[in-house]
Amino acid sequence: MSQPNEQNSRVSRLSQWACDHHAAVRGYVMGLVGSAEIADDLVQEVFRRAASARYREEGKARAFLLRIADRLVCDWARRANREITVDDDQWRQVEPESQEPDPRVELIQHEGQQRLAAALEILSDSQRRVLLLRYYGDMEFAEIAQLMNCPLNTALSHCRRGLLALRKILVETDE
Amino acid sequence: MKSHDEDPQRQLELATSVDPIPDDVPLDEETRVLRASWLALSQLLDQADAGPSDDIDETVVSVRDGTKSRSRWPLVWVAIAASLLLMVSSGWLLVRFGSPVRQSSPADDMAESPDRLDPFPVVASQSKVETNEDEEFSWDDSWDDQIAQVEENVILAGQDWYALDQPYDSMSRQIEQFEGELDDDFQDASL
Repeated sequence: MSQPNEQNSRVSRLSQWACDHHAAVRGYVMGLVGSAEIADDLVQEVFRRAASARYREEGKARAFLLRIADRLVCDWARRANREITVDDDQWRQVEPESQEPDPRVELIQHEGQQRLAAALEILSDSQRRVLLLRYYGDMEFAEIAQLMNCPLNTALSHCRRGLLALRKILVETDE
Repeated sequence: MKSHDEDPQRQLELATSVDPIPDDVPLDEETRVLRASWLALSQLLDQADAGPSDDIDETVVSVRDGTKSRSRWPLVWVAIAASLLLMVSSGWLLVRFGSPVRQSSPADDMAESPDRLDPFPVVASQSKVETNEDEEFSWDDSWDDQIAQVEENVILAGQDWYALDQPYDSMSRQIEQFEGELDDDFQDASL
């Protein structure tokens, strides 16, 4: 009797997570892998694993999902044996999944798309991960450092250096 | 009093804060620079994430099937059938247009043993190979009958590969026997 109830609660929780955090998870994965097709597969895998994993941190679902996503992206990058970069062609290959236009498709149509792609491209893998985790997950730097398995100061350094590198493209260009 | 180690963390937490920073919170020059970069990046990411769908299609979060494991057996059977056909055709061509003439009768050797399944029995006939000193490679008439039978077997076998595994094997063996015997005869003739 308890097992069906537990399963139902997991399904409903997963559905709620999908509605609340799918865009953030996909944005994070997309920012790292740069391919919509790969990102979609990884995102599905994220939620699949989340459905079967034991979630105990109430109120931090997004951080939980992003941890899974980060691990999957790292595994993917390791298998692919290449740097996680974003180039213009990969951004343009985005295909919408639903009837509504994909936000990335709108981005492609705008000038900001090139700027974002260029901005992410100049960042190192670690810098990109820190900034995207901070943005999409709103995670504390201690959490980010734990997720990335690096010291706190290292994570802070990645963030700082990444923001300074972005300044040249994003801020000084506007000026 | 904050330790030195907390200052960089505090600085970056302010710079990358999602919420607006109150005016009464002082920011140094570097923090302002970092904050400006963060806001610019956030704006671009916001544009990319603008308009998330409220109706998440179930298929988006459903587990995608992996690469479907297609059954490759039809391809395997086709490959086997094609190779057998090629082999049979080659044997037939060799028998039909090959060079050597037999010195002895192959009929007895070609006849299958009674206990072997052979839906396409080869007509075994005793015949003498006519040797002609002028025509060294003349064919025996009985050979023509047997070859014609093999041809017919090949055609029938080609109609349904799946159902004729064993006949195919038997035909292949027969053709191999033909080839062996023809080779023997050719060697004998050359000697």
